[in-house]
Amino acid sequence: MRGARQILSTPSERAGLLGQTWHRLRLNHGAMVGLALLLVLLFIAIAGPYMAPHDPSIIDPDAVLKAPDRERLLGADQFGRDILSRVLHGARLSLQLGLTTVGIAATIGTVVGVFSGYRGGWNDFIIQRATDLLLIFPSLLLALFVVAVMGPSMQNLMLAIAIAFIPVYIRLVRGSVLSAKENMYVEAARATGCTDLRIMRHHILPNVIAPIIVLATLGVGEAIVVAASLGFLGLGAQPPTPEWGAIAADGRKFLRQAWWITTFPGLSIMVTVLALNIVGDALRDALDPVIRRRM
Amino acid sequence: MQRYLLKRLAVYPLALLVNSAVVFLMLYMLPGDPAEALLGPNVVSAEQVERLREQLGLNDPLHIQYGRYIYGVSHGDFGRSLRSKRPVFDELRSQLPATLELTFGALGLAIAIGFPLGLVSAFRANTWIDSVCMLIAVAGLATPSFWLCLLLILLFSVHLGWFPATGQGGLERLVLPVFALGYYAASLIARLVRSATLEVLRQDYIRTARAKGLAGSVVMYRHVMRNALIPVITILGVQFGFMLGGTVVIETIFGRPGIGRLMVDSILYQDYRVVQATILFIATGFLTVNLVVDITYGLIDPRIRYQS
Repeated sequence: MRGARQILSTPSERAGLLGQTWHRLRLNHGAMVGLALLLVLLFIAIAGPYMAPHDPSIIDPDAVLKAPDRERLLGADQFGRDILSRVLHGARLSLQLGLTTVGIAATIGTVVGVFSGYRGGWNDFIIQRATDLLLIFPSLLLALFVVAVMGPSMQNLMLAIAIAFIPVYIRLVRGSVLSAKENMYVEAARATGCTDLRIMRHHILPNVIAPIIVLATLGVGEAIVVAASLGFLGLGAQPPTPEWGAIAADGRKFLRQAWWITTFPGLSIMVTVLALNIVGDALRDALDPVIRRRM
Repeated sequence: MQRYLLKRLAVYPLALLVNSAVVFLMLYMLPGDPAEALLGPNVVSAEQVERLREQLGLNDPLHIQYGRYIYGVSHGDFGRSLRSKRPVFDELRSQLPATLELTFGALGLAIAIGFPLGLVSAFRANTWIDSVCMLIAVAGLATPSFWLCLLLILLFSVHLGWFPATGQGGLERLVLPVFALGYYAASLIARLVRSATLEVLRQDYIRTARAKGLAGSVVMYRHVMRNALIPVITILGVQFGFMLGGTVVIETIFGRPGIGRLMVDSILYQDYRVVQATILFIATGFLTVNLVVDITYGLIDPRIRYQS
């Protein structure tokens, strides 16, 4: 029996979920490009502030609205601040914000979702109706609303986006838990006397990780866009924070004279989100056979 | 089907009621005193503020305030705007046409671009045509709408001078905002139609239809397109709500009147009656559209049988 299994299984199959996913991911050229792009962005987020040629908030009266040239590769804004330096500093800010908010939302959403789906009954009913209520609103509106209540600041912005994202994770996780808890091994675990907590942690949770990873990858991009949109409306990061949306907003009044203020931070957002979307899509495709087989 | 519909219709007002209560509660917790905001820099004495609070009923217990609010709303009275002193209902009504024009325009555009894009992509799957179509779609999903707005203004207003950059009224002032709002949804629809069509094309009944000698166009219209339409209709409901949210950004940038801009302005002004009404309006719109979508769903797809 054991020998037959070993003969039948391919190398990638023996490598487990992670190895299988990586194997399939590697066959996807687009995904590899996206992944490389993400690594570069991650490097910029870490090293960007040290690479920046100027201080992002230093005002230079001689460089006001200066067009891109050799000294200032991406030009300067209405205060003479170097756009390249601001965009580089913004990279860390945006990625940090995206990862933090999605981290919070995914963690809370997973805990609540597993509880809701596993317990069922009244707990489930109440949590799901509350989720329905929050799902009515697009995440941008919900975040806008939370910021309006708490006041605009970077911290409140993160909290607002995290809150806005939680319901999606609750819904997704609950759905996966409902199908996962029907598995025989869950029943077996219960028969051997495992506690509910142990069953949830060791038998249910591993089943819902794959869709969470996919959603979280796409979510980081969405969080960055929502944060930038709110920053643009003046409800997110406050000046002089070099947040991408806020920089783009600076350039709005000078669109005629200085296109570079708006163009480059926007381009940075687009490239980042594009890379995240490509990798997220590819991850979904790579994980999909696993998800489908489990269902 | 009938029982399902009745159930949906019964839940609908209940959802609105709960939603209004939550919004009411959240706004109640807002920092800042609406009475003081109303008086603005003219605050003379604490007594004056107190008198106004009494006048506005802000000193009553929460449930009394909520009860009064719901009673008013059921009679079409949403209170008065603190900012313009006009009834909130009139305020909303005057902003509504601009937002509907924008949203429906964008929805129409999204279908007009997204559907053909997805179909072409699916029929030419894994060719360069497919790649180009999907690149357009992927770019659409990654472009922040505020940035797209500014780029459109930069190109078409500042450089080419084809369309005016701001304001409302007339088709030429609608083109850029509609495109900025609709591009995201168009991309989403294109991707969805592509995968749905590829799925349909693999089905046995398509092979059967071809095998029995049906003309390509008949197979296409009667079998492929009709089935590929189903996921699109679902996403349209969600996208409509999304667009109502997106109008916040777009209306602000293009300097258009509308519900979204009214909401942002009211939040900044702490005009909480108006904020309440706009949120209630958006929630109502979203719930209504999704109800309609669910019903349409059953009409288009005979496989779906609603059970309660």
